[in-house]
Amino acid sequence: MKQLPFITALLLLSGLLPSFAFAQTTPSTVSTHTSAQIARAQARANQEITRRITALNSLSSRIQSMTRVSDTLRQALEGNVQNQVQLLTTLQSKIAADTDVATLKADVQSIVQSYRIYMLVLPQGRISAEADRIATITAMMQGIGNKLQARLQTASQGGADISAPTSLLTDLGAKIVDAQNQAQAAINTIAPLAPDNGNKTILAQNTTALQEARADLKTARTDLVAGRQDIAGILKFLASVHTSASASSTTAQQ
Amino acid sequence: MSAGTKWFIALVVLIAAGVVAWHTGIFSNLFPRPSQQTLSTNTAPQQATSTQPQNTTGLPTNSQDTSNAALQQDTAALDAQMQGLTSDSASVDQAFNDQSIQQSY
Repeated sequence: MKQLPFITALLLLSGLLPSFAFAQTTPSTVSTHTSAQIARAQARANQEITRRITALNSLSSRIQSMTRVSDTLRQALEGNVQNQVQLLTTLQSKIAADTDVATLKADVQSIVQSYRIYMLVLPQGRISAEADRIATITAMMQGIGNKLQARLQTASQGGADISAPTSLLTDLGAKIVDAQNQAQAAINTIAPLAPDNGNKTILAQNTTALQEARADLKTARTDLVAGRQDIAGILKFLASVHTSASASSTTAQQ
Repeated sequence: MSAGTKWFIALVVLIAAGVVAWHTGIFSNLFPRPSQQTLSTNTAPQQATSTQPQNTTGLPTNSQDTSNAALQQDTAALDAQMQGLTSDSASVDQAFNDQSIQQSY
């Protein structure tokens, strides 16, 4: 994946090379041909930049809806996104106005260079958004867990055997704590990352950090899915207690 | 000492006594101090917050409401967030798998 920007650049620029080869023999034909090549390159560059701006704007909306991460992190992420959008928008306008091959070539290379920043900002923001969502869910599960605990105590006072659902409740608590820890670890990992600016060592470190954070989030998701199953199991138990209590009450009345 | 001077001294003594009485709180029942009004204004939102603790968990129902109906609403809200998590997760995967559009001719 890391080589793709360079491959892209080569493919784009290789399309321009034949025009130079023909330039000395048939100038008018080649001129027309080069203009067409430039137009095609501009269209594809525009397509590429637009796609990134769309993704960044979508990320910006998501960042603004984050509620659990710190204001500092949210503002830093939003600042990075807006800087990228501004950079790409400027580049898009410049490419659209390019009329010669050399300038276009340089601007297309700028897309490739900016791609490395884009490939940090985008996953960094989306990992933060997912960690924020996990924090929201763990808070909700905590609240539901407290309610379920109260209901189980009531059921126990009514004579029900709550050992099985209590075990589920204990597991729910453990899953919540682990999910919180994983989400926090993901945030701690990606928050300090900065663009590599061409430094391969930093690029490798960033890539490793992003993958680690992604793995942390995957573990947190597994925790939350298991926690949701624990909640379902406890609710099922409470429903059965309620049903048997109703049945007993009906039998007693008869 | 003239009668006017006596009246003036008496007036000063009365004003001083009034100021002392004000600060000792004698009139507090009749005229609450501004600081007390501010304090009551400040405490009202805190009381309101303490009666609506569901805001801290993000659940749609009150934290003290353990009824089946409340739990049903809470789990529905939880499931909506779980769906959002699936979407967020897909976005993360997409960010890692993002590739440039092939710009060939």
